[in-house]
Amino acid sequence: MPHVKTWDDFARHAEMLYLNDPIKTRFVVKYRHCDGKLTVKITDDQSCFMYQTEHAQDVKKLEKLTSLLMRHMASKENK
Amino acid sequence: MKRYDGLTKPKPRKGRPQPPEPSEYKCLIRASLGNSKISTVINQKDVNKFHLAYANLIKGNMDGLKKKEKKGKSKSKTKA
Repeated sequence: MPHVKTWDDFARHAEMLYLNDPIKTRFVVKYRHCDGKLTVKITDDQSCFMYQTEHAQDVKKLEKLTSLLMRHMASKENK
Repeated sequence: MKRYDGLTKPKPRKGRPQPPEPSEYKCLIRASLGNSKISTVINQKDVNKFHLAYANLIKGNMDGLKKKEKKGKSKSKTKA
C-alpha cells in the first residue's frame, strides 16, 4: 500500500489513475472520528495510492477533488 | 465512489455479443458503517446538487481533525 506524502501528489496520481482506466477506478474515503484521521484511497485494482491526514484543512481539498472526480465520472465522454 | 455504466451483468466472453456502449455515464456512491450499507447512483444533472449536499455533510461532520494553528504561530512570530 503506497502512501503518498502530500495531497498535491495524491491528487495528481488520482486523476492520472482515473483517466487511465475510468470504469475500473474507484475512490474510497474513510473517516475515523475517534482517531481523528482521514484516509483517502484510489485504486484500479492494479495500482493503488493512499493518503492519510489528521488536519482539517485537507477536508476542503478533498471536497475539490471529489467534485472533480464526480464530474469526470458522470459525464458523457469516455474519460 | 466509482463510475457506473448501468451494466448489471458480467462482461460477456469473447465471441459473444458485446453490450451496447452506454450513451451516458453515471456515478455510483456506496457508503457503509458497520453492517449497514447504502448506495446511490448519481445522474449527470444531479451532480451539482449531490456534491453540494455531500460537501455540507463532510464539512459539518469531519470535525475530529486537527485545526490549523494559525493564531499561535503568528503570535510567536511577533514575539520573536
